[in-house]
Amino acid sequence: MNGITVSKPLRLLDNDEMQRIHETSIQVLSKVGVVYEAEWALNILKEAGCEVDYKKQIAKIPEELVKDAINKSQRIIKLCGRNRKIRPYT
Amino acid sequence: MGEIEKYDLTLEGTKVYFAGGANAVKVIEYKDGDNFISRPATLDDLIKLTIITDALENIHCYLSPVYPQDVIQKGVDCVKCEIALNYTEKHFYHDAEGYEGALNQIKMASIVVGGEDKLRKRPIISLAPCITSPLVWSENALGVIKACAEKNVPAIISSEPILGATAPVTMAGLLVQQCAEVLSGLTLSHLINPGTPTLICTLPSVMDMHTASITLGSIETGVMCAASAQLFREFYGMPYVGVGAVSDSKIPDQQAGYEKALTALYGILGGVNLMHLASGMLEFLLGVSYEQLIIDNEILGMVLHGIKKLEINDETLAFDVIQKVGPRGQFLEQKHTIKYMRKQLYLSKISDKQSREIWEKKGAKNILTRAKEKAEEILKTHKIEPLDEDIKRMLRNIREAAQKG
Repeated sequence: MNGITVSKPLRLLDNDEMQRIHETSIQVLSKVGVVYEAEWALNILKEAGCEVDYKKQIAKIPEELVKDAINKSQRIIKLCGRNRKIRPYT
Repeated sequence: MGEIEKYDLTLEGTKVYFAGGANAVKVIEYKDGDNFISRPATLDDLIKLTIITDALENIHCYLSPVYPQDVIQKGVDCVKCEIALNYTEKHFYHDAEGYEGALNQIKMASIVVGGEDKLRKRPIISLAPCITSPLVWSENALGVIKACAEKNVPAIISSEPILGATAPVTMAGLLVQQCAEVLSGLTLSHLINPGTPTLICTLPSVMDMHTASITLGSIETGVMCAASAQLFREFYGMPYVGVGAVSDSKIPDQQAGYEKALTALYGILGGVNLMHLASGMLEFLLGVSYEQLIIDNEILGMVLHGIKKLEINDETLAFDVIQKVGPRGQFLEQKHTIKYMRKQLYLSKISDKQSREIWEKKGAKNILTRAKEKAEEILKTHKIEPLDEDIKRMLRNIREAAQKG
């Protein structure tokens, strides 16, 4: 199915405004932190270099870790439908 | 079989698609005139609305429109998954009850495509772990992130902040918080499995300061989704799932019409790659209406037609035909008109464009009556080829086990 491409999308933010939103959200992640209500998740984050408070279940995430995740994210995501005529078991 | 299947979506750049509504707990039923009733949504509604969604050409991706109130609530995610797999061929994007619920649904989807390796290549399901704003990942949502990462199933990492309630009242502040929230989920996903397919989704709503109710049909929702789309596309280079064609109206009325049209058009012009909850929903996200679903398909069709790039070339500039017709002529019978009319003009499905005389002769039906008739017609005529009996049985077994748990 071909999606339709918006040729001239609205731009509500300037480049430096996007930069400021990003920088502020990085501050939230590294200074305020996020609650993860599962010990296994806190363990993974601690192992990766986050400052973890197990009692409060808060992980403070450093910028590099967020950047890594952004870099590892795929730019194009395909979501598939299915065709019933293709029968997996025949 | 071709690699590009009928319902495949490629989320990238400023390509846009629509996804259906989700998890309404009540159905707003249109009787006649100004009469509506609101009643609990049932499994029967879920099946019917799934079949109608499968038939509507402007809804490209399926979400369970209903959270059925007449089944055991335990394992209801597997009930919805089973209905989706049985009654629609469109991509199925869903919530899940924690790690186990997510694994169950992934297993069900695997059975339908013939194995987990095939599902990795052709993901027919994606799951949506959602943070609890502000800044709390519940154990359940973390379980969904984990299951998706382990099985390479697309995780739609979601944040649903409420302007002025669970997020700052400033739109900039909300953008900051939702950004931090989705990035915190994204970070965990890629620590578990680097490169696992992830999408970002936000659903910014607004606390109405007069009534303290949570609203979605506000223009701010459109603005924030357009801004988010730009931010994720341009700054982070990631596809973005947003919300639109939503309304707070309790019935499918004029308010529903303008709120839906405005939020859909605003977000899509911003380049929201997949706009979800975009069909049938009313009353924030509590209600669904069969008639509204049909009307929304028309709104979405108009939006999609309206964003197409203007085609500028010798033939479309049409000097030859203007010269041929000349002053005082008319264009209706020109080959040029016949050649281009379908492509250039949006052909309404249920909007009334007739003269008053003809409209009156055909019964002077309002939009709700026409939409109701259309929904009934689809339910009578839309055929979905059933799954093989052995596959159906396997799905049923997983669902029954999940319900007993």
